[in-house]
Amino acid sequence: MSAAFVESIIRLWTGLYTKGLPPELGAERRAEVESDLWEDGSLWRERGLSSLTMQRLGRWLLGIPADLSWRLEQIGSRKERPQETQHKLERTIKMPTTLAQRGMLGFVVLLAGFFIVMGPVSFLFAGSEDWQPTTFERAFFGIVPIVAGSMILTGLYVIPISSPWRRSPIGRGAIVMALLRV
Amino acid sequence: MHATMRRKPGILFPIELSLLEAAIDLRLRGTAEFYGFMIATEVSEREGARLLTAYGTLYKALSRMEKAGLVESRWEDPLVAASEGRPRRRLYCVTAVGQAALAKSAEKERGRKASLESRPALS
Repeated sequence: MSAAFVESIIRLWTGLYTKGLPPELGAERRAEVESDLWEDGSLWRERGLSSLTMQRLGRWLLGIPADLSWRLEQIGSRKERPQETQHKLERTIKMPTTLAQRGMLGFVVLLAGFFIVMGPVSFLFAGSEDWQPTTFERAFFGIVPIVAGSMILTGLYVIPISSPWRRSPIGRGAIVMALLRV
Repeated sequence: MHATMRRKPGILFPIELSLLEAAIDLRLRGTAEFYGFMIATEVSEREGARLLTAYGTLYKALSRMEKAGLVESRWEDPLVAASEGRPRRRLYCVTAVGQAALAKSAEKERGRKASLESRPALS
């Protein structure tokens, strides 16, 4: 996994969690992350260090909960925004009403978060005495859980409720999780 | 499920404290304005951390601090960025409110330490 690959994942993720927010707000966050990526790339190239990939991966993964809660905060403060934007945001997420539904949602979010964090770990440590994975297999077992977890979170928090695409990422992410049996 | 953190008046979150301390330190060294990556680097150097503050954590904290009036921001002149061949930076500076909040927090910490030291030691 190269630093450029991680950089494109971070760009994709930033685009996803800022989708559906007021255009100016989303554009500002994307511009800040873009500037940060440029600055760190520039500094690391200057110093000739090699751990840029891990630095970026770590900063991205550890910041995912804050990204999601920031997005929720923007939705939560919708009362301060014009009516048109409110309507758009309300279609993006539907809060569960009963305790059981909230518990279920919390469990799914935690599970998805677990997959996202465990992806890089399994990427590094996959294998046993009977089976020594190839680099491709290691990458597969590392990236698939991240993708599955991200699909579920994207389905829950990014895609508007009315969209026909909403159920697809949640369902596919859940199937991948079940197949991996973690 | 509201993820909004409720702030007690006059209380700074640890990340806010770190960012304010680093920003004031930068100001004392002649850099009045800072941008995301610069402050992340400064915080990691001060705290001896190998990993810089995560993107999400950093920009969420800065956004919350701006809403609370602890810092204010402006976008850099695009011509300056273009002349250096890089994306525009969002430049932040600590406000008087931010400075006061940091001073109050430091005072509280001193008071807490003093009360701990004045307690009779358990034998």
